[in-house]
Amino acid sequence: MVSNFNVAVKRILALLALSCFLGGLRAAEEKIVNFYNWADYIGPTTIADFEKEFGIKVNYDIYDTAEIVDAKLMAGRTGYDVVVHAASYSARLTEAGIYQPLDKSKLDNWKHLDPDILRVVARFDPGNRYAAPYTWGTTGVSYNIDMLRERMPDVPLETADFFFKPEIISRFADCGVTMLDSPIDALPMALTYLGYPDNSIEPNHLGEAERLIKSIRPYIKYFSSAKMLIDLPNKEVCVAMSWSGDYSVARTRAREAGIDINLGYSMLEKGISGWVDNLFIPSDAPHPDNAHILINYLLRPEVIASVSNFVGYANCNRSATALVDPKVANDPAIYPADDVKRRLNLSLVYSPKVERPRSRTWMRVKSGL
Amino acid sequence: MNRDDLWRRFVIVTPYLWLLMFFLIPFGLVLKISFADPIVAMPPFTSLFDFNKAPGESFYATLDNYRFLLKDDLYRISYLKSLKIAFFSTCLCLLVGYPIAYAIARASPVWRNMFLFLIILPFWISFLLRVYAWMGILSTNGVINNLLLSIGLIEQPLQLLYTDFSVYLGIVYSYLPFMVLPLYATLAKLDFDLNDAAADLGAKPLTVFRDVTLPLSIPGIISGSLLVFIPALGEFVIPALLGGLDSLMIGRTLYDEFFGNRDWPLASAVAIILLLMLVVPMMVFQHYQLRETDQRE
Repeated sequence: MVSNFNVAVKRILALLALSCFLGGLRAAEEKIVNFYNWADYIGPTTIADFEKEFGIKVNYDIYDTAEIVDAKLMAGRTGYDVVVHAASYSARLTEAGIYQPLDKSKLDNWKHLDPDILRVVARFDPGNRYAAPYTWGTTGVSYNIDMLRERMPDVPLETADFFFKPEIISRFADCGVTMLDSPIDALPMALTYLGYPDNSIEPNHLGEAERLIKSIRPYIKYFSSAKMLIDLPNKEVCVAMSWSGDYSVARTRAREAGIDINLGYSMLEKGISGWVDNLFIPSDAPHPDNAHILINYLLRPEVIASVSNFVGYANCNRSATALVDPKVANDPAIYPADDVKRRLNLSLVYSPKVERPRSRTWMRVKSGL
Repeated sequence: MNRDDLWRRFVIVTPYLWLLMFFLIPFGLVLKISFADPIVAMPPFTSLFDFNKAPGESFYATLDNYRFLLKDDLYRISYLKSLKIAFFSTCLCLLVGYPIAYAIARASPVWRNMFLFLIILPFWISFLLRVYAWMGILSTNGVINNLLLSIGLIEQPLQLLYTDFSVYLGIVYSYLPFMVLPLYATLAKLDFDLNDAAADLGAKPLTVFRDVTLPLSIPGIISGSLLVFIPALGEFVIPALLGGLDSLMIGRTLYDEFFGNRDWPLASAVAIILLLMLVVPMMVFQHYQLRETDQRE
């Protein structure tokens, strides 16, 4: 009995060792790249075209909240080779050694990138060493123009008063007002409205921002970063704090569902909050060479232009703008004037203990404590 | 050692191994993280033992997270809110589920299988999809409001979605089968001759139910209630999708702590307290139940 058992164990160990060895051998030459991206964030044929051209199989995986990616990367050994993630998180993650620097010699399409966007990203990634910008946009408010005009013909859409003045926003409570469930988007917006630095974590600044949001909270239906994508086209909601691209996603969904709807988007002029999504290579990526090939491919103007055409977000590729569908490229909500890029404020994500006052403020705002 | 002995040992050891692998070890890991400090690293918390340091300093643990939990009102409020919602949902499930289980248990065998099949049927559709369907039914432009508006019963659409009402509805709807099935299992085993005997002795139907059926079905009530109460207490999806601003349940708070604030140690401490809130009452309950069985014997 005992000896039989020992033999069995030895056989299993031998098999394991063999498979590890074979696995190691295969990894060196395997034509695979593991790509982790936001849901609905790539062109319909982008991946298939890449596979055809380079003979590298793409394992495509998607997520629907930035926080999930962060948690996965922090836990380590994700197995991903290329990850799309917002610039705001990158300073903290590079500090923790999560990403590896990009080898620019393998990225000859880097030259197409918009220098203005690179400058914005460099605030979080000095020298642009880790992040290859993919898409960008602003944070503002999407709204249903007709439902708003019905309730207030002269609604001051372009000013931040529209969202933060209780006497104005209260008039739309009955048709549905929502806010992003994201302290790093909502609080900077409130802070700039009050005239404070957008990333401030000063207790008295945050306290005032808290009072401001609480003053409009009675008119807010819910806090969510995704639900309004369904509720805006369904007329369940008429004002939704959102990212610029959400507005075009909502519009597309309404069109698909055959709903006649007139959606607009405002950046609430007063220090513009925005975001830039980037392509990163995790430091433990199993296929870094293929990752560079994929990133270089995604930096190609015609490839990224077709992504923008499909997802309705602006890309960070200067040479691609001319190739983007005019309906997208001429929409000031998606491709704002050049000065917007220069004035773009990006939120900064701090380490948990430093972040606590901000997340605490946000929880109090949400729960109304 | 003969074959039977080996077999017996295997049978006894298996559930313990299972508990060890899938409960105790993960629990130990979460417990360990709850005593750490959050840092920016991979993984994002300090380790309990650092062997690179001098022997005296190699151990590091902190109670900061628990201190913070007790200090901050937010957690107390979310725990209480979760307890309240889980408790009332369980009561509602019992009120709705008991008659259903009773009817199934008293039905003829053919119908009985049919009914059981119908109870299980919703599980064939993804849970998430069913919750989304409720959003469509309850929304301002949804099925119920449109129906009520069209027959002229109401003039303004009712706010059904994003309220406590919709959270209760979602939980009762989703967990009802977990109440019905154990209740049915208990009720089906009952000897209905006892009811006849009670009736023969002059008891009215309500008295028969109160004095005979109900006491005998208590094991089913307890297991059904636990199966509803425990997952409802930590429920995240239903309050997140159907709940309004005030539906601050502990599952949601824990999610925010872990994903929103990336504070794994604090999130672990929240989870440990939640587990204690579940395990302690269950152990007390088990203790009394054991004592009762002992006394009977």
